[in-house]
Amino acid sequence: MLKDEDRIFTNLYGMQDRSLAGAKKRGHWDGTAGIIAKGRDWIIDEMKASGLRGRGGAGFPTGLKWSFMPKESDGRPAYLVINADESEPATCKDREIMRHDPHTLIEGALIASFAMNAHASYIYIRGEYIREREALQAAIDECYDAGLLGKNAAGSGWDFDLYLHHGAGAYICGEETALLESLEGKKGMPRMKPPFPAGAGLYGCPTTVNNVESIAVCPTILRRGATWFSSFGRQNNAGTKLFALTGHVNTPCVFEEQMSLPVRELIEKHGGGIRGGWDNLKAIIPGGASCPILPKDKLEDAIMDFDWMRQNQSSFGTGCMIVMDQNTDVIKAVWRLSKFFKHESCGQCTPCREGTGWMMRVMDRLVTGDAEVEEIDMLLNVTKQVEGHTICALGDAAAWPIQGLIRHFREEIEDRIKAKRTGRMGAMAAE
Amino acid sequence: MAALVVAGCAATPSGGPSMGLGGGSVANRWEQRVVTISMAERIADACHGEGIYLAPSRWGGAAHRATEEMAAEGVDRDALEAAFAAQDFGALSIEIDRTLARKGVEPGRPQSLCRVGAEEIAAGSDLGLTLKKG
Repeated sequence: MLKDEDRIFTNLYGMQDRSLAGAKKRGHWDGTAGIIAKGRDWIIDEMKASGLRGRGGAGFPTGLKWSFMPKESDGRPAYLVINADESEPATCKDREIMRHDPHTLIEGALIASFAMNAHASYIYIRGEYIREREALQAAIDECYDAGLLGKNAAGSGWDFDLYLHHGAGAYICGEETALLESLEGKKGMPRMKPPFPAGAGLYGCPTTVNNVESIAVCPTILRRGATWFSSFGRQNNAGTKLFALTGHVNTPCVFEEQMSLPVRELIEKHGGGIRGGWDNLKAIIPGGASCPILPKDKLEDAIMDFDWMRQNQSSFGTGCMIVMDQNTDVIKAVWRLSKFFKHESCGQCTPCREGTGWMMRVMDRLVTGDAEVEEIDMLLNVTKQVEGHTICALGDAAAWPIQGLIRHFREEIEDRIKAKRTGRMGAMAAE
Repeated sequence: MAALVVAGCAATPSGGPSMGLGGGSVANRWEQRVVTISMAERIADACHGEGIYLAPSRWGGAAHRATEEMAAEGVDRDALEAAFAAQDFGALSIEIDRTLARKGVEPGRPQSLCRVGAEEIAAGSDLGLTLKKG
């Protein structure tokens, strides 16, 4: 288990004072001007050396992303936009940062913005996060009053303004270009790429969009050094990370742990084990609703990191895991995700707009067993036609859980169809 | 369980929310503060679009916040934790509904919460001081 002295988030559960005074007591805002004095190149090199990969799901190297921003301004301002639109079902890690440890994020925003030549940063917070908005805005106000934001922020010589923007509850606005559209006051629909935000993002200006956790960890990485951070986890999967466990574990929780630990260890140490014991485990969805499901037989030696999950046809995502025990109707669970993605499709791309509804309707029939066995392959074929054929990744996100279901639970789907035919339908599936 | 008390009505002469140094048992005062914060949360949840929010606090969550606020004012922490342990939160939730109803909040009409919130802020009551406008 991660030692207390290696934890970046020291008030994850809100048991301590979250105000500026409390944050300073816990070591935040310590030597911020000194970090900035080391210069842009040093900060970006250190972030690259730390091996930090984006904590919002895609896992793109953070330092590398920062290095894409123009070194010199062509007259346009640069922006850092922080994606706090945490809407992935089962993902609830950033909210703990924002409501209990907001100064990690604000200090990170200042340092990251300086590294990217940005004098302004926007935090786009999820519409439903009302307590979090209040806590974060209170922390921002405190920082302005203390001179940590604004002119000569934290005595660094860098002028920096931080704005908090409250979203309206649309999942698609977590997609970085839809988020930029929404921030500009338009309908939250993803943009075609290229141009990428680093070239033309917010208001057509160079912009980097980073996840809350990615920004909140950077002050501690820079204070303690890239070597310290990269000493955790396997190569290419470095660092500590906020994880979450939801579903059929005995103690659902959000916690900070090092990367690349066995899935079983995370579930048993932090989640208190599976309800009914390890052998009662049926499957997990590793990192949010869009990640393909993995059955128990894949999880005996599974490692919770980016590379292991990709090699095993799933995805690490946000590291917030849904755990399902043997009582779970896994077909119905994936149907519910299909319904979610259909509801949240912005409708811009035909394969997604039509495909998510089509997939959900076939899933309706698979849940009740009122389908033909041949429809399973037809459904798989449709997921392949949606995947990769849309502007943003929502189409992929809708397709992957179904692909995972068919890959690992085809027999269960077929059994249900056959049971329906022969009148042996279970009460649960017939609901 | 400590007797439930009507909360959020009285204005405080000190200008800040009263947090437990007044009369009554620690359990009663703690419970009153939890009811007040919970009502404020409900109002802020419904009325953030109208610029009504929770006033800043060093702690979050009604029960935790009430405990820490009162402990910071010198109330014995063991007594506060005993009040927490003995609390029936189901009954507390019913009391919050009743108190809001007495203040004129109608179920399913969020604007009635906002009206009550604005009135309490204007009156400078405990509930009003737990909220802020703008």
